[in-house]
Formats: sequence, C-alpha cells, structure tokens
Amino acid sequence: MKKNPFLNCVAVLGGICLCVALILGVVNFFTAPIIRDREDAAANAAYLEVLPDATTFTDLDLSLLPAGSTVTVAKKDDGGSGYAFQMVTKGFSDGLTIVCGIDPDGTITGVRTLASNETAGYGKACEEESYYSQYTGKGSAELDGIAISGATVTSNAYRNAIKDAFAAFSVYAGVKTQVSETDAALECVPGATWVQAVSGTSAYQADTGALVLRCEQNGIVLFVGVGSDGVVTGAYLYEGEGSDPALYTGVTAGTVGAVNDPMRDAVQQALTVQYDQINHTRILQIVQSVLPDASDFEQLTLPGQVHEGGQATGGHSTTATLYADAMGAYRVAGQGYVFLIYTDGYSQSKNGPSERIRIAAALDEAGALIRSKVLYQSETQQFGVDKVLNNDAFTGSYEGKTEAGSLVMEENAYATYTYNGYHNAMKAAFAAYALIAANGGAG
Amino acid sequence: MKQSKWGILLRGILKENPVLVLVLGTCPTLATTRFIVNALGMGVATMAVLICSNVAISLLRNVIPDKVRIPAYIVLIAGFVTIVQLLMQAFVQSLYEALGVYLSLIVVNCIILGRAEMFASKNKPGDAALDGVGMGLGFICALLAMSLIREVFGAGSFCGIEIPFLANYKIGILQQAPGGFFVFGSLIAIVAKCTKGKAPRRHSFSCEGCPSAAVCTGHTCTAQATPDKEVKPS
Repeated sequence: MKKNPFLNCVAVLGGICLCVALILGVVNFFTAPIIRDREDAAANAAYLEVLPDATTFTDLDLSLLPAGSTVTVAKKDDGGSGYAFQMVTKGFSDGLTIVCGIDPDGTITGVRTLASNETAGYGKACEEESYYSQYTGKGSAELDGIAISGATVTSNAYRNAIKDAFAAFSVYAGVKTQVSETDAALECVPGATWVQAVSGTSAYQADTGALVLRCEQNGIVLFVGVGSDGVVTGAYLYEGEGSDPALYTGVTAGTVGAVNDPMRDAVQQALTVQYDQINHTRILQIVQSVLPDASDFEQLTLPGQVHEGGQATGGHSTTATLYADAMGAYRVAGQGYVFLIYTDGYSQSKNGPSERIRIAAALDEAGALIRSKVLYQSETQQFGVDKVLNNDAFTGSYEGKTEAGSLVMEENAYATYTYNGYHNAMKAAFAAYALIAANGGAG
Repeated sequence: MKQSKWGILLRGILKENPVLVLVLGTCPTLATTRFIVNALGMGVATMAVLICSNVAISLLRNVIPDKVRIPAYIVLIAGFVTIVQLLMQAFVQSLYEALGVYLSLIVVNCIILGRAEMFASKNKPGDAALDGVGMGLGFICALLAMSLIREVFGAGSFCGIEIPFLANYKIGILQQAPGGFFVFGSLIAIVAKCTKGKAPRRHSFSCEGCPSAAVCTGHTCTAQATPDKEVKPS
C-alpha cells in the first residue's frame, strides 16, 4: 500500500508532538512543586529582609483592604514582630513591586524594591538602597519628601504604595495610623486631587477652590474643609479624641452654632474670621506673583466657563487633546486683571489632574498680557521646563498681545505637550478677559 | 566513509570544534562566557540537549519524512531544552537565573540543529550519541577557554572568587562585547594555526547542509563540493 505522503507527514509530526508533550507533562508534574517551593522561599526571603525578626508568616485576608489598594500580599509574623506587605503599582511603567515591613508601633522596619521597569537614569534609582532605605524607621506621617529628584512620577507612585501599606496595617492591626497634614487635608475635600499649603498660614488650598482650615482647641486638632461657597465639605480628626468630624459636613458659618461638639467654637472661629483672612491671603499671593505692586484685589465670578484647547498641534504627539481652564478671576484697580489658569501638560497626561500646570496671567485694562508666572509645574526638566516654561523668549512672545495667535514651537524640541499646554493657558486668559469685558468689566 | 568511534568523538573537540572551527553557536558563546560558572552551566546544558536530541533524531531518522524534518527536529530539541530548563529551575535555580533567556535559546543553537541535519539523521544512534558527546565536549572546551580569559583577566576572579593580585589590574573591556569578540577571534586564529593542514575544512560541508543547495550551480560556491557527493544540478 502506497503511503499517502501528506498524511504521513501529518501523522509523524503529530505523533512526535504528542509524545514530547506527554513527556514534558510528566517532567513538569514532578518539578512544578519543587519550583513553587523555591519561589515561595525566595519571595519569603524578601519579607524576612524587611521584617528581620520574623520567623514564620501567616497570610492575611486581602478582601478586607479598601478598593484600589496596591497591596497584593499581606503577611503577619506569627512571632508578633509586625506585618509585611507586597505592593504592585505603576510608576512610569507597570510592574513596580515593593515589599514593606511595619512593626506593631506603626514604624517601617524595612523597604525593598523587588522589581521595577522604570527608566534608567531616572526612576530606576528606586532600586538603589540609598533610596528605599530612607523609608526605614519612618512613621505614616513622615513619608512626604522622600523622592528621587527628576523622577516625580516614580517617587509619587512609590510613596503612595507605602501609604497603602500603612492603610493595610491600620486595617489588620486595628490601629489608626497618623497621616500627614496634607493627607488629612485631602480627606476634608472629597473630589480634590491635591492640596497645597498657603504660605504664611496653617491652612491648605485644594484644587477645587476649597480651603482646609486647621482648628485647634484643648489638645484636639481638627481639619475642616470649606468650599468656595462657604459650606463645609468635610472634616478630619487629626489629633486627640472626643470630636466627631462627621457632624460638620454641610454646616456654614451661620449654622455651626447648632452643632453639639467640643470643637464647635474653634470651627466657628475658623469659618468666620480665619476663612476670610486665609482666602484673602491665598489669592493675594497669586495676584502679587504677576502684579507685585498690587495691595488688594476684587474677586470676580466668570460669567461663563473658560475651557480652551483641543487637539495638540505640531511636534511629536498630535493625538493628544489638551485643555486649559480659568479657575479664578480677580480685578486689581488701576492695573488690570489677574486670571488663575490650570492647563494640561505632559506630567498631567502621565499622572493625572493633580499635575496640571498652574499659571497666573495678568492682563491690563485693555486686555493685553502684561506678564504671566508659572505657580506650579512638574514637567520634564530638559524638555518642558527648559524649552518652554523657563524659555523667556517663548513665554515673553505673548506679552503685549491681546490674543494668543498660533503656536510657534522650536523644531524637534520634544516638548509638544508643554508647548500646547502653555499656549492653551494663554488662550484661556484671553478668553476669560473677553468674557469679563463682554459683561461690562465686572464679574 | 567509515569513521572510527574514537574519531567521531575526538574530532568534535579540536578539528571540527563547533564554535571555533565550524563557527556555530556564537550567540550563547559570547553571551555566557563572562563568567566561568555560567559558561560551564551553558556548556553542560547544551551537551545534554545535544546528546539527547542526536539520539532521538537518529532513532527516528527512518520515520520522519524529509518534508517535515526541520519542524520535527525543532519539536524534539525544544522538548529536551524544556526538560533541561525545568530541571535546572527546580534544582539549580541560581544557574537558571544567571543563564536567563540563553537557556531557551539553546533550541535554535545552530550546533544542535546543524549536527542533527548533518550527522544524526544519517547515522546510527550509537554514533550519533558519540558525535553529541564529542561536539558537546568541544563546545564546553571552547566556552571554558573563552570564559577563563574573560573572567580571570576581565573581572579578576575565578568562578566568582576574587583573585587578590589581579583584582587591581582588570581589563574591563574583556567583560564587554568588544573584548568578547576579540577573545573569540583570537581563539579561532589559534585553533586554525594548530589544525593547519589537518582540518578537513572543505570536506566538512556537504551540499545538503548548505542553505543555497537548491539554487547552487557549483561555480560560485566557496565551500567546494566533497568528492563523494555530486554537485546538485540547478
């Protein structure tokens, strides 16, 4: 019988594949447990490094953790020396794996970076002992400020992962961990992405326009968030006991007198005197950044929304859409107007709305730009900062104009996002002026 | 032509050294010879796979049809490499991590596929096994020679143990790619000198092993035809 050559090939090849697969299955069956044990031992080795006095571990239930926690493994030492956590988060790239040990007092016993795909020369420094050893011995309130210069995204992600570890610790240990003031302030304004201290005061301002005031009385410290409409957005008990922060949500200066709580008087003081003072201080700082001679200002309400921008033009990233919003309008008698603009840039595209560039722009009575100042930015030093924000030739090209015109970028500057972001901010400033002018010069 | 058993074994070590004479398998050679321990591990792993695949292919040489011989060889070789990988991962994990991706790359190591094509598919299992041992030993010798030079003079250590005298006189470039190529080329030159006149260079390639055999007319071939094989007409 003549062998059909095609079927013969298929049969032989199929037969070989089948046999090889069977043999591999057998070998795998015997080696898989050994490999798994070795990997567990290697992984536990990491936990033993960060929690040196530990002996054996028990795994903890991850379902108890808050949603969005980056903690993937939680272990408790059976000998009582503390807890070890593994967090997997995203810095600049996925796969940033960190282990952290926390002792029962809430102090970090050790931190290690197990794996990272961060950029060499920037975020990859998080793998060095000189970086992660900075966390050892710190409590939950002392984490701000540990960063790699030039690697904001990685540093923020790392710090947030450690904060998640503390959050997990407080869940499992049943202990309330002390948070930093900025975290406490953030808790008071639901929906805010960042808070920034108002210099010269003990208060914080949030990106939503809310102010967070620090109220202290009889050893209790309460942070109270107040929206721009004067209504309390939330409160957080920072130190001490006996006060219930939930009682304050929704109260105003007029209704706070009815609250039955030890901190009532301090909060009332904050909502009346302190609020007006600090709000004024905060805005005066913004105004004086562009109009140094201004001694006072009039707060205006924009008659409509200012939302400028769209598809990024030119350069290397024309698929991005970037916008700028006017977040505040102020009139300085005899000089002109100051607008507070939040605009999207490169850092915002990577790390969210908290990293929008904040710019103050001063326009004279006729609507020509006097000058502008960057209040906050976290763009890339050698591109966005050097080529755009610190480039006086570029930023100065808008001065004296009454409209933004078209964007002129340096060729191959690799700063498309920042260029477009700044240009949108200028457009927003002129658009805000146009709204005010159409309304007769008042807000 | 009949070859003695000893001949099969010994020619792989020097006269037809796969790395230094046949210039096959240069990728793992250059990659794993920075340290002696890694080179040894790679050499032993490759020899194990070589012997097993040679024997398996030789046993199946009359079963595998010509049309599907390459896929069949690769499945077999990949199977053996996976077994070696699993065993290494279970029992010698440090070496497994040191070799990394190069362990998987043994599958496409030209030595193994080349010997399968040129020898194992045409000879008995016993001879094929000896060929595997010989070529494997030759591979290990070449790797050891390279890694000895690169680690001792490039990193000032021997198998990871620092040599106190040489630690201050490291020739760093030997640990990098250019130094590797330099050592490689020098070794090829030395071996060529040692086997001058004895290396059957022209006879080591048969037309069947040549990739352009199908279109060859014999006039432009640099590796000329062996006397016992006809040049295939185009």
